[in-house]
Amino acid sequence: MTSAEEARTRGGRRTGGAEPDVGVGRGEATRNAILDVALRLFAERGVTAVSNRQIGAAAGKGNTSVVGYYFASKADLVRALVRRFNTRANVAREARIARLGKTPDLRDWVGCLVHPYTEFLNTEGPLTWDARFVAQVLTDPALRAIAVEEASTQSLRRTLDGLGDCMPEMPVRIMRERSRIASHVIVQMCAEREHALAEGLQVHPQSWDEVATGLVDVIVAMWTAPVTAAEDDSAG
Amino acid sequence: MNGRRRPSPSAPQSRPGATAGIADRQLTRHYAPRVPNLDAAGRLFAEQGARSGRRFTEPTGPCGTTLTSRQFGTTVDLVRGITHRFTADVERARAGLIAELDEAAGLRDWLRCLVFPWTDHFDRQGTPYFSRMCAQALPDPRLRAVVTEEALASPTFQHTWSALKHCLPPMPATIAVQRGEIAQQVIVRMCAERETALATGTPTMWSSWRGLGNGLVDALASIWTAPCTTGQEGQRCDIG
Repeated sequence: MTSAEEARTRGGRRTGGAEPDVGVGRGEATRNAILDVALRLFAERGVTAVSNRQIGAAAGKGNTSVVGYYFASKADLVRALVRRFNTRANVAREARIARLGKTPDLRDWVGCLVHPYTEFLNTEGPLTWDARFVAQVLTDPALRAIAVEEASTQSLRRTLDGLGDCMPEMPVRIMRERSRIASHVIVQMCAEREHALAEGLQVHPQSWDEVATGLVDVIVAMWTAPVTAAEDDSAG
Repeated sequence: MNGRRRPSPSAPQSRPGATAGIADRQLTRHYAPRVPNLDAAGRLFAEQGARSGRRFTEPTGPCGTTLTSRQFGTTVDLVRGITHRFTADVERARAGLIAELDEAAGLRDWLRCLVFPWTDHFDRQGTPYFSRMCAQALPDPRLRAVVTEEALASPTFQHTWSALKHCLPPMPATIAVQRGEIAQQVIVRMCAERETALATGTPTMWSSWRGLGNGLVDALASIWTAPCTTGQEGQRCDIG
C-alpha cells in the first residue's frame, strides 16, 4: 500500500484547504480523473515539468491541492499510472500466451513482449498518451526504479522465462545489452508513433499491428545475431 | 562572461564546409568565448531536460535552472550550438576511418564509420553528456529537426550514410524508414545510458566505449539485415 493510500484509509484528516468529497464511488471517480489528466500532461509536457497543482487545475478541480490528497508524492502518482498500464497490458499478454502452441519459439515470445503493448495502444486509440509516459518512466533513472518494481506481473515473468529458454548461448553481458536494446526499441518506437499521431503527422506503417511485426522482426534478428563483440575491446 | 543573448536562432550558422579545418575556425570564433557556459547549460539540459517546474528528486544545483534561458536564448539555440560543435569535433575522426576503407567495404565497415567516431569522442571526454542531450531532444520535433539538420551538415556523415544504404538488402521503403529510426534510437539510448552510468558512478555494461561501439555494430547490422515480415503475421518478404 502506498503512503497516499494509507493516508486515505486513515480518513481525510489533512489540514488546510477544503476537504474533497471522497464518498464511495465519487472518490474513485476523482482518483481516476486525476490519473487520466496526469497521464496526458506527463506525456505532453514531461513528468518532471508538471506540478500537482497543474494536474488539479486541468482536472477541473476548484481545489488544486486535491492531487496531494490522493497521492502523497509524484512518485506515488507515477506508480499508480504504471500499475494501471501494466494491469491493462497484462490482460492482452495473458490472452496471447494462452494462444501459443505447444512449443513456442523465440519469435512467439518476442511477440508476447511486443503485441500486447501495441494492441493496447490500438484499442485505446487513435489518440493515446501511455507510450510517451512509459518511455519517460523507463529512461529517467529515478522513475525507472518505480517501473522495475512494478514490472512483476505473472504474464511478463512467464514471457521473459520463455524468451530465456529460446535464447542462443551468449555471454551474460551481451544478453543484458541486447535486452536493453530490445526494451528501447519497443518503448521508444511506440512513443514516437504515438507522438506523431498526436501531432497529426503522417505515420507509416499504417497500423499498430504492422509496427509490431516490424519490431518483432528486428528484435528477433538482434537477439540471435552472431556475437563478434564478446571481448571488451578497450583499445579504442 | 556577459549575459547578452546569442544572435537569434535564425541567424546563419557556420557549417562544416568542405574541410573540417574551416569548420573548426568558424566554430572557435562563434562559440569559444561561451564554451564554459555552453557546456554547463548543455549538461543541465542533458540531465534535467527543459523543465519548467521543480526538479523531481534532487535539490536545484548551483547552476540554477534559468541558466539556459539567460545565456542561450532558447533551448533550440543551445541544442544547435552543442550539436554543431560535436559534429565538427568528430569530423576528422570519421574522415580517417573512411580513408582506411576500400571498395570491398561492407555494411559492418560503414557501421563502424558511423558509430566509432561518436564512441571514441565520448571516450576522450570523461563524462560526456551529448547522448543524454540528444535523448532529451529527440521527442521534441523542433529540437529533433535541429539535431538532424546539424548531423546532416557533416560531409563525412553524408558519405557514410549513403555508402551504408548501398550495402543494405532490398526492403520496402516503410521498413527502411522504420529501421533507420530504430537505429537512431538504439545508438542514442544506449550511449545515453552509459553516460548516465558514468556520471552517477553506477556500473557500466562495458568497461570501454569501444566495447559498447562494437556491441552496437553487431546489433545494428542484425537490425538492418533482419528478414522482414510484412502484412499479416507469417507472410515473409524476401530480403537478404
